[in-house]
Amino acid sequence: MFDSNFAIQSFPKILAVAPMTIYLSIIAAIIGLVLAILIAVIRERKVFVLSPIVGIIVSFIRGTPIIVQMYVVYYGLPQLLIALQRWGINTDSSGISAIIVAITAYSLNAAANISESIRSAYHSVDYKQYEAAISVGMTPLRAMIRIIVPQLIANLIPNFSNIFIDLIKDTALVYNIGIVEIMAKANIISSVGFKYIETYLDALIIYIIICWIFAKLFQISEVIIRQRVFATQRIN
Amino acid sequence: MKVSKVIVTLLNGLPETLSLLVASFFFASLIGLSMAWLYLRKNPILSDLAKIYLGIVRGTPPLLMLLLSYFGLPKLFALVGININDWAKIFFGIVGLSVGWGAYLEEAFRSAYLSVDKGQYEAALSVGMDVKHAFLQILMPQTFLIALPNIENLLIGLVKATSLVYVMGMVDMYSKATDLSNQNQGVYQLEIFIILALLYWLIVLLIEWLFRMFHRYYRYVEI
Amino acid sequence: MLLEIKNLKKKFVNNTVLKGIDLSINAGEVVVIIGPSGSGKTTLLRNINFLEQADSGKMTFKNKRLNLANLSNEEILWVRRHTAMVFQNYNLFKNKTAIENISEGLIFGQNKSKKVALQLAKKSLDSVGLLDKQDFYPAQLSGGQQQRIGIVRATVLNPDIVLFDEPTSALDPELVGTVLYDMKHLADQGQTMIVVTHQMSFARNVASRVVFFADGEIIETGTPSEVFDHPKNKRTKQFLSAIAEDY
Ligand SMILES: Nc1ncnc2c1ncn2[C@@H]1O[C@H](COP(=O)(O)OP(=O)(O)OP(=O)(O)O)[C@@H](O)[C@H]1O
Ligand SMILES: [Mg+2]
Repeated sequence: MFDSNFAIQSFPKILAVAPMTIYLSIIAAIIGLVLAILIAVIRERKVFVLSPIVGIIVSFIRGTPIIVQMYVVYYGLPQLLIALQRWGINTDSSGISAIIVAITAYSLNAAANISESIRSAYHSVDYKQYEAAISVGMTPLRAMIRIIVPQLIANLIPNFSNIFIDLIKDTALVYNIGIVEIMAKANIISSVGFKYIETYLDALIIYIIICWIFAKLFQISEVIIRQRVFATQRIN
Repeated sequence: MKVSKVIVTLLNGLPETLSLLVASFFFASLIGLSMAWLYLRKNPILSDLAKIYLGIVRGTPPLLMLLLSYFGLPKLFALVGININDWAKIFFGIVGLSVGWGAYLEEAFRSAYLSVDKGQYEAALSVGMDVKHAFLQILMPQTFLIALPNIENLLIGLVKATSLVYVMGMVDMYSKATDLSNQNQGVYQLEIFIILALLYWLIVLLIEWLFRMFHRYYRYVEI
Repeated sequence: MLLEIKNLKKKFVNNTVLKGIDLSINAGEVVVIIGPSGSGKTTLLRNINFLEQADSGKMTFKNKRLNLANLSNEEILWVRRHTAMVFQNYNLFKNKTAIENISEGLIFGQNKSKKVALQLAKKSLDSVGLLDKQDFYPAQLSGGQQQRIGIVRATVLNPDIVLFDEPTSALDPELVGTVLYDMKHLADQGQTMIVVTHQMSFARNVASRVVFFADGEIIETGTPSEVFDHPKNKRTKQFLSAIAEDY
């Protein structure tokens, strides 16, 4: 029925590829965050033409399954590079690895989600202090960096944590384009003896532990940042 | 290949996608409501169970949830001597998705319920309503309205997650797209997946529109 | 005697908030309770309609004797259906329109048909001049309008006693008068009421009896002129001089 020996033997093998899952998630989160800041600024400042276009793209990404996005990038990126070549931009489409495809798709996905979180974190910032800072002669940019941004970051962390954990879970799909991470390894090992449930339970445990650890890390960092933000505000 | 042919082919999978969506959301709501109710009964064992359930689901990729349902449930049932190996695949899809989304809905319902102003309940009692009517007339509708934005997000998440039932060989919109793209041996693949994405987007936009209409109807109910 | 409370005691964890209250009220009386913040006035009112349950004490209401330490669900419901409460922050049902707020208690507390309930609600809204607001939700109404509807919601039930907990203290100053006016009108019609308030002019002009309450005890009670003009207790005097108000 349930081969617990097999499950125990497989566990370290699957755990060994967990770094790939984490690596993909972290890279996508970092690139996504940078893009998201850009998107949030464009949308909050209502940049002419760009703002509505970016808005539609964000809505599109948030309204489609990540696996579909991944295949759009998978089939679309090479064609895009070929097109760019035709326009005289020197690109090489032959060397696109699955990793590049995954990072592109997951970064865009993260960017769309994080940008919305940044905007709502920004809207929930308390503005009275900003106004006070301006009124005592701080430049708007300085007031923004000193007063708004720390509060924004504190507000953003819980949502960012959720998005990051969703990213970890969503990377379970990249085995489709040939990347060997937790899910792929579980599939590979089990396909030999058709003992699926054993390796899937291994994968489940690993995912739960990884997600739990990152959720805790974000929680702790939120507490620390909130203390700092409130401390500096009290001194101000 | 014509775009219209691609659309028609993909739409062939729409009924499966939609039935999966509706049934999963229904059962997830049932799970969410009953778990929230158990949690709020303040029985420590029950609330611990609900916490563990939520903790597990939070860390489980939906894909894995579906696989565990598909491969695990038959084994579980076999233990009590029931053979469910040839039950319809949609059954396993619905179980996998509703178990996952039930946990999130539980959290949405519970936190909304806890954020209803206690004075509303007391006012209901003060005009002579019994506990049951105070709940049905005042607490429940307000809980629902508070939970609405979260429910909307969860429903949209579920729409996207239905695409994952390809792992159990169900023939939904997504599987239709992969089939079509394989048949064409590498031509028009990008177009097929872009059209598929647009179809999902359309469903999501429709859901957002419905919720917006609902919200507009209740715009003066500020809770 | 409509309501008689004997030796009511209530504590929260180890904070004794009501230290054995004796209070009685006849039909048609307006009892105004005054006293410092945190003295337990709200808690006392909430113990009368059982939003809070006393630790011990006896109550006789409409000739029915109740043991406050041991109430059945039927007794609780019976008392709630013969009393009504007006809250400091109105507590209008946010998911109901003005008229529904009023009909709700008639339908679900008194088993009236929806049609009859809406008719009654309409009539009572009209009597305070707020009929044009019948389909408004609380969020669309001013504080004063909300509280006046809160009063209608309570009185439409024909309760034997209406309990008011600082009904004007959340209101902007210019709206206080409209609510007090409605309350005085009710008193003139013979409605029995217990009113917790800091509006000393209302206490002086409308109360049949004023109760000064401090530290979970009734310190002094008497007619308005007895309590305001010739207070016997030192603490009453202190309180009255501290609230430097022109009463
Ligand atoms: N649910 C509760 N749990 C614990 N303590 C409470 C609770 N309700 C009231 N108290 C305490 O009981 C005391 C009396 O409170 P109460 O609200 O009755 O005072 P009050 O006279 O109405 O004051 P105010 O004029 O400010 O409204 C306070 O010390 C308060 O902290
Ligand atoms: Mg009070």
